[in-house]
Amino acid sequence: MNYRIVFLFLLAVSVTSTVLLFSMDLYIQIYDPDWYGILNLNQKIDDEKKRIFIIGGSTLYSINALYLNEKLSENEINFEVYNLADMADTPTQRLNSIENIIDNKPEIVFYGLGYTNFEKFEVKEFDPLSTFLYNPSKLFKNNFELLLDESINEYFPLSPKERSLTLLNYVLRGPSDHYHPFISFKEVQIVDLEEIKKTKEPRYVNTLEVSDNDKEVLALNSIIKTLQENNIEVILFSFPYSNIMLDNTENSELEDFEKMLKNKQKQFDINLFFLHDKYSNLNIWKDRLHIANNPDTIIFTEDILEKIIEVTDG
Amino acid sequence: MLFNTPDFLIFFVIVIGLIALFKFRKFQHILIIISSFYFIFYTDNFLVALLISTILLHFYTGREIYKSKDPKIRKIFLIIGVLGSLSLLGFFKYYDFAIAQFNIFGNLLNLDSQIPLLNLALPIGISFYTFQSLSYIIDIYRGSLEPSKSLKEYAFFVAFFPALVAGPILRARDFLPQLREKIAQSKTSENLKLLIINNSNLKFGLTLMSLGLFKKLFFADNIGVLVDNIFFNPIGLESFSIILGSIAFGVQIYCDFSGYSDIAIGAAAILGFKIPLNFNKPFFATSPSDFWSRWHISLSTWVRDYLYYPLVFKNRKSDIVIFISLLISMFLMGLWHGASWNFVIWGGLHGVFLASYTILRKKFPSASSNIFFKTKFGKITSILITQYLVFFTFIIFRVTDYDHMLYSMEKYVFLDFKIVDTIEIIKSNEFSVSLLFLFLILHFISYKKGNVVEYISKLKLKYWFIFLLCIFLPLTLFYLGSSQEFIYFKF
Repeated sequence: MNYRIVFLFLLAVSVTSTVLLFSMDLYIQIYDPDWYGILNLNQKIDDEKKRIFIIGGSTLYSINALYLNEKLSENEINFEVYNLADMADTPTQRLNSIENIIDNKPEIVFYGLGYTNFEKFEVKEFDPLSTFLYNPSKLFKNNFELLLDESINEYFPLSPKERSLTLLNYVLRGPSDHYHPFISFKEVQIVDLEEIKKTKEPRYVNTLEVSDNDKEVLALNSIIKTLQENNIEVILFSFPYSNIMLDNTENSELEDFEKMLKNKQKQFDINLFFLHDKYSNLNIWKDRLHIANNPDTIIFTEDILEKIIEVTDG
Repeated sequence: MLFNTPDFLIFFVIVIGLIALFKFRKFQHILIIISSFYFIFYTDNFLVALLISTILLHFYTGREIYKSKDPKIRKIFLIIGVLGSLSLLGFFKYYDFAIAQFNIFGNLLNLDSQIPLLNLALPIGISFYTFQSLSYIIDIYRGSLEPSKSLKEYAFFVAFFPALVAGPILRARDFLPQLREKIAQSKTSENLKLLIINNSNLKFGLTLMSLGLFKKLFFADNIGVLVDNIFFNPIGLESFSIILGSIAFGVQIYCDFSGYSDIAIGAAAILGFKIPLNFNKPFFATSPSDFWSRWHISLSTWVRDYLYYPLVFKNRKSDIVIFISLLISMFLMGLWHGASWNFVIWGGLHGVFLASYTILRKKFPSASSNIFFKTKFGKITSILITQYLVFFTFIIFRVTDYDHMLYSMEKYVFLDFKIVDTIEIIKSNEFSVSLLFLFLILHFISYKKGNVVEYISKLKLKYWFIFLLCIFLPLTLFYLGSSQEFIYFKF
């Protein structure tokens, strides 16, 4: 065997991986608000207007900030909304970029939280020998792919394809007027809830940990406190879930989650509203966790609009 | 274990590494057999028992057929072998489908009782290794093949992991001689050969595997996004959108399956085995029969040799016999793809096209030698008509909802000449559409240039390295983010 062939093949794989990582990193440098500030990426910055940031997980992607801004203009409300939702966001993650949020001087921050942000995953006992014998693909997943997946998730919140295309678009045409880089705002079809149920295994929610000593709750406290110290108004809300998720969650867990948020409302004297079960039976979902980006799902955005108008005294 | 996952990459590197390190023929062959069983076990766990039982059944029935001089006994062993493996295939692949049809029929007759479905998992590769094994005993019965010298040799042939899951369907008469040690130019000994990974095979195999991955990850998966967008709910779409969807699906399935075949052929080449091509520029076929000599060649030649020829054997001059034989052959070929009516209709329709073409050619033998078909324009016309029919059948292959299917077929045939929504679809899927055009250009170049893989694999190392970069960079930079299953993996 000619080792030069093998070497060149491996070299090609290495060069490709390096280029991939470099381009993905370049994308982050250009786009990611958590690292470099959201104001770099928006062409339509209006410094005259006060800012409202919406933060939280990917469930908030379907809040249409363009629609909100149109409506606020129509109502002559001098605010501009930025949807800064991020994939798999949790209070501990958000806390890492809190300085960035403060630097960009919002007046109000709407923080969407879900009970799954406080879920504790049980570590299941794993027996390598029996797994190797009966389910080898699981062994691979446990020992290698999990590690790979985690690193991929960290570096590529979106697929390489989406990032490369966005980057190319940026290089060729300049920044577009989207309002969050990690969100694809292409219209997405609504999938019937019954269809979603058929195609996906039920996702049972693990135990929630919402005690005062929990690290996510502590991170949430820090976020609210830091924002308030910088004169930024905080509004908490629970983000929506479909009935596929709610049906597989114990009522007591939901009650604990609501209780924790109410405690935060009291503790920090902030506004709070609940949406977690409001649209659970409506056919507006693209999967069991996310509302589809679609004109027919505008109800979620309209509810947020109503709250914005309420708090801005519009 | 899919070819486009890290699991396979690690598995393959370990197997190749061990073969390169330990040059003992017995070790190498046992390693390949165990690796092949593990390859199935990895995904299907103990359903690997089906593969082992198929190997045992056909090895011993094949041997008995060969040994016996009595035609009756030979026939009995042939029937045992054929029925044995077909019943396994039938049970796992078609039982639920048959019961579902029976229940529907029962409902029509107002029968109250329903037979419950078993919801069986389809063992991966069963359609492929069953056909591979069947050809082995049929060839022995026909006297055109000597049985394997040993169980080890036969197990190596049937379970050979590169072609195990989704083909190409190997023939024993092509593969077994390659497995044996060469003594002279044409003679082979009874010993299994030492597996040596040589430079040209390694380079050729890596080139083909890279191209296969490129076809799958860059073209098939990305074009699949456009196909899904169009056929998710085609009701209300314009004719041109449906045509775009069917062309995109044709290209997607070609890149998906021929990509898989390329990886399989490449992996086999590295180990020193030649597996025949499974695709040969099918989108330049000039007739339905030409199409089937270019598309899934290992299956179409299997159906031709073991189904169609025996059906027409005694009445090859009768138009009706030819027509019905082609219809039955293609109907069963459709059914082979899956237990679903859309595959049956797809196969049946191809049967109608093939039969009509064959009979027309028989009735008007001078037509095919007509000067018009020799001109460039005549050839292009033949290609366009053939591809129009082929892409029409892809709608049936892809769209499983019958309302959606009928709507799409109607729009494909009766053009509405509207273009507004189609332009919108193109705009919102500009990347997929660009890839579709890029594929058609590259397909045309490879059609004109001949054997591109051979040419690339003979490039100097520095140019070959540049080729690899040109393949890997778009493949990774435009990776969808998750491995999409190979379409033929399900068959």
